[in-house]
Amino acid sequence: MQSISEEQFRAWGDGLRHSDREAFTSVFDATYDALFRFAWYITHDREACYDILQDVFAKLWLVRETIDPDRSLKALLYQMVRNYALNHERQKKRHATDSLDAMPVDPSEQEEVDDGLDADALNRQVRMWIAEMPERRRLAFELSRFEGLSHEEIAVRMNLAPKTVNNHIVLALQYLRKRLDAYRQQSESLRT
Amino acid sequence: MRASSNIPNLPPSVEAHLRSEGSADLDALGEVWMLCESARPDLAPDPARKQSARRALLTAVTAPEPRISPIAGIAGRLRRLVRSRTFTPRRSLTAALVTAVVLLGVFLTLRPTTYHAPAGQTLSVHLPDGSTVTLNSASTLRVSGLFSWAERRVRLDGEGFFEVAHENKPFIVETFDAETRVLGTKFNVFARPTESAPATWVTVAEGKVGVRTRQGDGVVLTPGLAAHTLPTGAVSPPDSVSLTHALAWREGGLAFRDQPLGAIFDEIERRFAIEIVADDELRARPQSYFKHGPFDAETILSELTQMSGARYRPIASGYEVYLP
Repeated sequence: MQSISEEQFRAWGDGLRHSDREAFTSVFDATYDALFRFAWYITHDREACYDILQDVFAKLWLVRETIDPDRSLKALLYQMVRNYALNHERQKKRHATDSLDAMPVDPSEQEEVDDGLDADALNRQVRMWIAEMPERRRLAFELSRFEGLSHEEIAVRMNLAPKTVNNHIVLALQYLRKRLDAYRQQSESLRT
Repeated sequence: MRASSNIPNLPPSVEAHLRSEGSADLDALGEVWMLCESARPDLAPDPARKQSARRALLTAVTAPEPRISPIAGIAGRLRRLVRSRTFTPRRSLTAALVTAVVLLGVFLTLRPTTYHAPAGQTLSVHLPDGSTVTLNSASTLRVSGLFSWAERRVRLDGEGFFEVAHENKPFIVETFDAETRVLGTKFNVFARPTESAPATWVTVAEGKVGVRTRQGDGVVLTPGLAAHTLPTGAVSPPDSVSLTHALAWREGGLAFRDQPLGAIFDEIERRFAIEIVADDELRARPQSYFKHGPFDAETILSELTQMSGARYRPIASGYEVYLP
């Protein structure tokens, strides 16, 4: 999706406004995977991502005639995914307060598993540390680390100031480093 | 410190930013960056599911759609339909088409008007029935196209002070989890579903106000009383509050009683259109704070940090608040 030009998006936007189904199909084919990844970074839930994207594309067709030609269609798509994904998160939180199933697994239980395989254990830890970060910080960090987006691009996707994105990423790195240091010290002391 | 060429792990934009912040431990952070590679998620959607999603959407998109035709045409078709009385398959198709066109027309009439007060600003909205709504920063009011047809219904996301003109039609403020219903009065509604503890808060200044959640629990409030929705779908018992505090925002003030610091920061962010960076532990601390407005963000932050033993410093997008 990085490689698709704004002109291309503008052309698709024109097509959509004229109810051009070819344009709709092209937008779907060209953006589905990238939007799916973006939704995952917000929700960390693959099943939810399929639903979110279905809603977004259905909505896109529904509002096709009112798409603003002066606004980037790409930005609109990301905004829609963000809104639907955040909505999903909100609903999940509301349910989580009632149900014990949604309680996070106690991290101390997970650490016990496979103590022999150092690298595997560490990888699992890293994944968990990332998941434990506050939502916005985690999202900014993941978009930077795994999508290779620049801070400006992340700022647009998350509707934040680039400077705030910087802060999130620095805080994320410092936090991860602290966890890593603590983890190493702990395994060191276990060994001796 | 090593030369930059020895730290190839960080992407240039991250590295440049860390350097400008004066980070001394670039090597360690670079190592952390590398290590995270192992956490890269596999995010390709399942091709079969993508394909079925595509099929479902394209079927929906290619379904025949009625075009908006002139009113005369619709009226003629309706007359013919009524006269015929019998509904053959062909006629039911026409009926379906006409219904669709009528529904589309109704939809267009019903299309709501949206008023939005962006961060850093407030907005006064005058409604056709003579009621006034003052919107706090970063708040949205949606008014149905058929406002005051049978009832006066609006939708609020954020915070607003309502001065409702008396009429026999109920005035209903819909929020994400509740409805507040009145005939004519003054009251404040706060409903931000993005807060860490999302709830609708209603405070009454004049008259009588009914609050009802989507789950059907309800309460009636009189002047000086406030109630809020609970995550369970119930409404809290009415609590007497200071109106000066509840309505302080209208004069640019702030009033919080035992709220997490994060909620206060969120309000400052919206009010001044700035960003406040603070860690979760600090954001979770309970704090009471009252200030008659209007004030600038820095005055409030300096007082707040003094009260909570924290420090603050300006950053480009706003302020960072941290524990010493």
